[in-house]
Amino acid sequence: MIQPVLKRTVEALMERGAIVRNLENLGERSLPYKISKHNERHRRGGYFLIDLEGPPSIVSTMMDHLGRDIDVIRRGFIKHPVSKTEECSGIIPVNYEEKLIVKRK
Amino acid sequence: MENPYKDPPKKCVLCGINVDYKNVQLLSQFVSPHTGCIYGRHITGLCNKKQKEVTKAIKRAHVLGFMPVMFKNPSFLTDPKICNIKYPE
Repeated sequence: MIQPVLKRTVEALMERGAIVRNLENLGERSLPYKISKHNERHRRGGYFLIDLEGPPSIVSTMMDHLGRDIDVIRRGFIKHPVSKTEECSGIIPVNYEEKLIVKRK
Repeated sequence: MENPYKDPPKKCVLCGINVDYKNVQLLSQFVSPHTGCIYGRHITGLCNKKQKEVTKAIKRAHVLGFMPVMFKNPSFLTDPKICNIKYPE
């Protein structure tokens, strides 16, 4: 049921020159709110995450392509998150007096 | 000469934890159970960076259909309280 959707999407991505690095299935769960798309009110859906590398011109064409696909309820492109939590130095106490004086200029 | 007895800088609750739009349970701890509003900095007690990250992640989760908007997911209602908010009885 779900496999042809993924196949179509990945093929469309590869056609436009994107390299698919990873495909994760985040499970099938009931949606947090009912979504109406393509004349149907959906309550359950499968979540998938595709890790890809490609030129930025793909984004608009792919959003168009996925918008026309009936089996895709919601689409989105997100930048790959860069995790840099090792430099967190904690809350530095702010000197409010100095801030006030400096802004007067 | 620097004070050798200085305390290390205070860390907020999320200091060192990677905030992701996908872990809805963590994000739901900073949302009101009645209305679904995101708590402000004076309630959550997070530092600048982390508060901004959490807000952006919650908004993203709303749009992409991971987290409900108008309320808190009922399965996360019994999570430990991080924010210092008092509900009227």
